[in-house]
Amino acid sequence: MLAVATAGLPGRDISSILRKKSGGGVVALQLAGLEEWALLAIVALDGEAYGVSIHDKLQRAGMEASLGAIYTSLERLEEKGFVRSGLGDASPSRGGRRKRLFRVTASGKQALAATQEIRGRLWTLEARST
Amino acid sequence: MTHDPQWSDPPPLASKLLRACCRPARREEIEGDLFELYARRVVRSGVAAARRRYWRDVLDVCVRQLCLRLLRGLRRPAWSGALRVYPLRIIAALVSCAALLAVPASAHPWAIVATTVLFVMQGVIEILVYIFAIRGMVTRRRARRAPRDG
Repeated sequence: MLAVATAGLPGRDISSILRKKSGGGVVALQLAGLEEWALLAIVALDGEAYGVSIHDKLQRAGMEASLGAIYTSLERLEEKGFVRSGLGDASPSRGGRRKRLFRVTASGKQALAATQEIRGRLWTLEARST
Repeated sequence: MTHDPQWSDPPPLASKLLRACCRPARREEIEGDLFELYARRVVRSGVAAARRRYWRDVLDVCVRQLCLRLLRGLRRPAWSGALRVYPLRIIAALVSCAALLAVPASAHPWAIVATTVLFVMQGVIEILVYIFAIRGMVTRRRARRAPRDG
């Protein structure tokens, strides 16, 4: 649907931005609303990203998202291969439970760049039309 | 923190609900995150408000986790995998179910005989499946041991 919506954009073929080669097949990059914000928060937190810190980061940026919504987005991002995670250390402030720390993968950074580029092009079109 | 007279643990029922809803692989970090937020809210807004918010967060996480699991199940239906692995077993079960539904409609003695035969056949197929599965397991175990013994 996104490819259809952006079909008339100037410059190089938008499909080259929207698609990436993955294991012999071509997969369209997909970043839903909260997934993009969560991915940006993970980049900003630089190795210290886990549920609560992502929640706090989004809140400070003016976005109220529940922890449940953040977990769902993180699981989807991990399924798509845009982030990878590992368990950190346990701490008393968490009742002795460990954190799951998230890091952005190369394809995650590529997806963010593609989204940014599409947004930039759409803003340019918007500026031209007004 | 737990020695503070104002401190109170999160609602136990909510914690149990959370443990029941989350996948074991994700349980620890979700429980830890909610505990961390709860502890912070106890200090900031008091025990009652923190407990109310904890309940709200737990219900939100549970609903979303269950929806995610349900959607995953729909995307990768278990029956297609089962049909591939045990085709005879599934077909026999489907035919038996169809026959069972057909019997009350036609109480002809032959229908009852046919259904009984189908059930017996299904039982035989089940037994064969288990025999083959056990034989396969034994063969694989022997194959794994063979290089070590040799």
